[in-house]
Amino acid sequence: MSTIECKNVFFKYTDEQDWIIQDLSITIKQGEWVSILGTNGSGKSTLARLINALLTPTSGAVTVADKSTDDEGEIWNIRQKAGMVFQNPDHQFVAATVRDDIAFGLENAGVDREEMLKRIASASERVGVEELLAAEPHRLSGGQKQRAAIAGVLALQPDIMIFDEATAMLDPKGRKEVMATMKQLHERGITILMITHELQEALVSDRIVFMEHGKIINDSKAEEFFQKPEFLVERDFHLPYFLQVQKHLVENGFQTNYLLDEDEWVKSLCTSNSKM
Amino acid sequence: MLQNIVIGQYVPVESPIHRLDARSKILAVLLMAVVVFLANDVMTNAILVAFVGLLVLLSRVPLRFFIKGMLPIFILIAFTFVLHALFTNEGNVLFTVLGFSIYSGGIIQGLFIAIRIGALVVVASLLTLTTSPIDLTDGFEAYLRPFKRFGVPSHEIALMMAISIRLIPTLLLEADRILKAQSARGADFTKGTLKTRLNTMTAFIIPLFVRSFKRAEDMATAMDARGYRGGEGRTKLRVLKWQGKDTVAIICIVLFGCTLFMLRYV
Repeated sequence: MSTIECKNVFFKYTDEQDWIIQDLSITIKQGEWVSILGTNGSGKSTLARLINALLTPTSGAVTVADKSTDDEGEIWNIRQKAGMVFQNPDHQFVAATVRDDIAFGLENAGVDREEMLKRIASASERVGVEELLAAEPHRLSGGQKQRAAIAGVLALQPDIMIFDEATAMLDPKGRKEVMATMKQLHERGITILMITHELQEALVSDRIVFMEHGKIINDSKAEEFFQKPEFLVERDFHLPYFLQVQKHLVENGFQTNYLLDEDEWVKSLCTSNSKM
Repeated sequence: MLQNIVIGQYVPVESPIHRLDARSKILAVLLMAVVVFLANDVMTNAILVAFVGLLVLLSRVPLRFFIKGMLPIFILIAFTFVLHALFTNEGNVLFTVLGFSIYSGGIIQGLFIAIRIGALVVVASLLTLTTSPIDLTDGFEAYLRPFKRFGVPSHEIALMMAISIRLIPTLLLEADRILKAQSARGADFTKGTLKTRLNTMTAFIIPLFVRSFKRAEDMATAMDARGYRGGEGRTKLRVLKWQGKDTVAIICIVLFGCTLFMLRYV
């Protein structure tokens, strides 16, 4: 069980700078799927880096499983507990083959070889790259590379996985693969923290955190959050098509609230139509 | 285009030499560098050629790969041959060119030297042709490790080599992309004087560098996030296994060296 807790966190890189994160407090429980939305420069990625101790707060405290990221001795434990997958698949592949890359984190953690082989086998199977273990990175698609990266984190048996725009550079197929993997990890009780620009992806999460100028300006359940699409439209977010249609229906009084599941919405449309 | 790229010179076929440990192969090459210079007459040179030929056959690597490896060295070999031919004054005078008398001894000496250098190049190629770059890196790391106490950062050197090897295809792909992007903007890398060409090259080199620095930074962060903290307390997935056949291989080389030594001095 690893609860993430940020208390009155402030952060900036240099003294002259404005705050990148200001007075941010949030608690994320084990097993939640949280999407962090926000415009560029809103501090989303910085928040992610604060959680796995890549950065430490200028003031305030970040704790993961009651361990402070300020504690030098705990940093490595925290990074193992809170794994991170980055945006560019090519910039996080360290070793020459998938197998070696998955092993990289385990080698760092000093896991012995027998255990390493077991964990590589199970992690690669869970994300579906077991056939690609001997492949070199330039022979993989973007989606495959990201899944290999996920396997590398997964092998360290984390409680939390942070995805920092991990699907942003992928084609639709790769996106689908990675999203499906996330879903499966969520079902296994891993906390998913997903930083994204894509509303379509945020729809599947439990909770939406919206950041602006280093502050959280909205923190609510996904179903509640999407009841006010104006909030997103005002901020130049592009609503998924089926939500745009719903927006028109709601505004014209044909529908009372927004449904986040497209299929469910279509079904409800059909039934209400047949009543007419 | 990159689907078939083979990094380094490694030729991935099955052979007894491929299956040897990288460390024994490195040691064997070092030993051969000494042994080769024991050959000094027709008999020993013939044996040397036969032995190296046998190794080449054993490796199952097509001959053309060795020839490709020899080409850059060929000028050196030809040069030493000519030098010996011109300046050795032994045996009978065969003919005279440009005031130099060419002696039979000179031709023979030149040939011997050419054979030795050639044999050495072939043996060195054997190492890179039959060992994958990653295994080679591990092998070098193993030999560097004892020097750690003198401040040689063996783990860091090995990691650096491994990451460089991994990034070669990525860089090639990126170079290709930048080249096309700049060509689309009107850059012509093939025309003009050397000076204008060098100038256009900056439009290629600078983006390549900028992106490499960005990548290096990202990669460092990713390594940090995955708990990398240097070589201390690190375990390894790849293990080198020194087996019986490795010992046998080394003994073969030593025996071969002894044979040449006996033939020469006894």
